[in-house]
Amino acid sequence: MLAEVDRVREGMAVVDAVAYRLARRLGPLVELEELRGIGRLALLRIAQTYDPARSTFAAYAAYKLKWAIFDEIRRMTHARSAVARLNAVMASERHLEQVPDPNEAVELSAEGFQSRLTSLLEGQAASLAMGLSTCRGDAMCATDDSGSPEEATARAEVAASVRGALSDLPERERVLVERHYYGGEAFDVIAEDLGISKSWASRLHDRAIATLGKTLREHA
Amino acid sequence: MADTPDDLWLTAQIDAAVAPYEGRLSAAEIAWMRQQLAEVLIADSTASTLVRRARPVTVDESGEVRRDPAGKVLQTPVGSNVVSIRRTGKKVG
Repeated sequence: MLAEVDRVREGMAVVDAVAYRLARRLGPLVELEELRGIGRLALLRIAQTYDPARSTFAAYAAYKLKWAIFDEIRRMTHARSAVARLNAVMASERHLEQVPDPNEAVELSAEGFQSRLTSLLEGQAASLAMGLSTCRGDAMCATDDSGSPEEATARAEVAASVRGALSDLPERERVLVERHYYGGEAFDVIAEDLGISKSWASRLHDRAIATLGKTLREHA
Repeated sequence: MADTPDDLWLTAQIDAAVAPYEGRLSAAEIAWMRQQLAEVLIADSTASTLVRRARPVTVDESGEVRRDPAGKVLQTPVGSNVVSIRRTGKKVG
């Protein structure tokens, strides 16, 4: 019990850091204080489930807090453009978790780092574009940003194109993306239903985003 | 959220990443994507490390060579790397 209290105390700074970072990414979608409040509530549960054998508490808490906050914000978010942008940021964060640590590539040349940076940016752009093209419960989920009729038509076409490409994905990748981004279900729950680990689900997610990004880039 | 950075090299990296989506997403969405990419490159530790390592070596227009405290040349020889010249006239390093 004492250990949990200490963890909560330690975790408060982590809550602030995670909330601040997500506030910067989500912009006007949600207030910093709201993110902090969600994080503080989640921290109690996180302190109870921590296993000291696996990582530091700060690292564990930062990861769990981020996704707990995302899940809660998504549960509360209903406007189409807000959901699309939230999905985009979530896909971006999921992709970032799969990027290899450049500090472990000490022998890499500047060209090698440039290639990795280009790859990261391509993956990030694909994640954001895919997220913007999704919306819970809608097959044609154009966002509700103001824009010209031509832009609205283009958005609807892109959204339909992504939905079409989704049906061509391998089964588990399709289920992950559909249930997570279109169905609004928590990633961990879907991974469990599919009988795969969260890390394997993240790799499948990365592959799916790469395929969908390619579809989006080639969509005419 | 970060504004588009006042850094030509970084802006070029972001431009290249969003270019395939121009015309496929709205102008507002493209602008938002740029801000998100800038935020990632600045705030994410993995991305910012890659930016630091991938950024071309910069020398001032005098061609002055950067050296470490022991006098070892820090600049990669021309031809083995991209070298950009910043025309500020300020001493680098």
